[in-house]
Amino acid sequence: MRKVTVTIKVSGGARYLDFCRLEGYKFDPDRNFRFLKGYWVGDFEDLQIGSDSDLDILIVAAGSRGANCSMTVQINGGQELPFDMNKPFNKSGWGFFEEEIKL
Amino acid sequence: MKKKRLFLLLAVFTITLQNAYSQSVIQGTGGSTSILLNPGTKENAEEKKDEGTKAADDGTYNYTNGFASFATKEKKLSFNYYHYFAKKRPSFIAITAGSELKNGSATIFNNGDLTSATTLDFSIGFRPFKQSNNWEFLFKRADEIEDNEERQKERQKILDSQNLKLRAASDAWFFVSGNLTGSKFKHFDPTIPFDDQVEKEVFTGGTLKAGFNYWNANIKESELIIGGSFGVKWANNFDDLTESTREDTRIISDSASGVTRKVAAKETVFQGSYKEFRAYPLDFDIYFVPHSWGNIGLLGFTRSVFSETLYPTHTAGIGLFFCKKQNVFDPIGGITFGYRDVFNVDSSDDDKGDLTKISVSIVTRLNLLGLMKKSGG
Repeated sequence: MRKVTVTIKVSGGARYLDFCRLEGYKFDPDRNFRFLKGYWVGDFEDLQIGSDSDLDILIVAAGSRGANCSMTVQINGGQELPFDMNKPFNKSGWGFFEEEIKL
Repeated sequence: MKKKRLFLLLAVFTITLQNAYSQSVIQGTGGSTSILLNPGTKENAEEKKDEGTKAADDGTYNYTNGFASFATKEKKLSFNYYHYFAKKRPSFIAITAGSELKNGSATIFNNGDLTSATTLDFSIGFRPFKQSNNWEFLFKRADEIEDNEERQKERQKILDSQNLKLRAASDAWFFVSGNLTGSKFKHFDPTIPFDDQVEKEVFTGGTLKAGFNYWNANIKESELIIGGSFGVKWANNFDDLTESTREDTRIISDSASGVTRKVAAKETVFQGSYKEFRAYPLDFDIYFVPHSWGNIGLLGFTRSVFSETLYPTHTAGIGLFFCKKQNVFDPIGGITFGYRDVFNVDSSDDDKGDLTKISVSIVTRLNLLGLMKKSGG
């Protein structure tokens, strides 16, 4: 099984992060993300990757309706890969990121 | 004289340029608010690619940002420093340095005699509550869908659903804030002996208050921020004094030539019954953005001051604010209207008419600084 170090940055358009799941593992956003230079930054070391060799990410964020939010993912210190939220925050203030990143 | 006036204005501006920036554009006509917004947006947080980020030794991380705001009615320019950290729960510290011109707008450029006041504000807050949903349970069906596109559509449907009793995003913050203010001006009392009529007053005041903020993404098809605070302040009634100009004239004559010379010295003075007092301010703000209004938000506010020595005063007002990209936490400016002494407790101004109680203020945000700070440094 392969292990990777992942750094996730979600832009400050998110008021807070409510849910984070990486490769099937749940992480508490309040404990694993901090607000740094305008981004919610989470560092995850030794994350075990499944046999499909994809990094599966699911993050639910809260923010102002209609506003947008972006995310970057950096694996093992490599290039920061940019991603957009699936849709802008809806009228209940929720939006999500879901990505399968090939390793 | 014009160069001196411009220099003085520039000095007021640059003195406050040393520190960071304005915290909240959402404010009433008095330049105050009980609503504290998030740290700045991506535009304010320019990342320097040659700088790394690292944790401080105590495990906390720092964020600083800066922008200035200028309120026309109060002739106030201020900058804020905002420091966010999360150990057990999200918390922040904010410091504001500001400078305000006490002169009336009409007299600022008249005689170059500027009366200014300096303020230093701080706030400390933490978040005791945020609304959460059981996403693991809600996404269970979507998790079983193999196709990526279909799975994301299903998740979005769940997020947008009205039937699942999905709780709208919301959170609450508690804060304690305070400030120190210093000002000096010349008080003129024509009723006392001539030599004592102009007296230099130096005043140091302050405020200490506790409050709360509550945000909800969707209440009755509107996004809402409510703020309230109560505290104690040491203040004076400078704003009730009348600004005027004192002119001392001396005639000098030369006995040899018979020529007389008139020498006049002007200075700005403030007239009226001057008092220093302790008071208890109670503020409420409600800022909401109807979903159908796009980038426009409404503000309603009240400012009440209770005092042992003065009549309680109540100011109420409304405002219109404009957001950027529909983000209520990123307002770019607005206009507010306030009505002082709503219940007409102070009858001394009854002869002046209701229009004199109305004040208007325009607030804009200027992004002048993009300070970045390394974690722990």
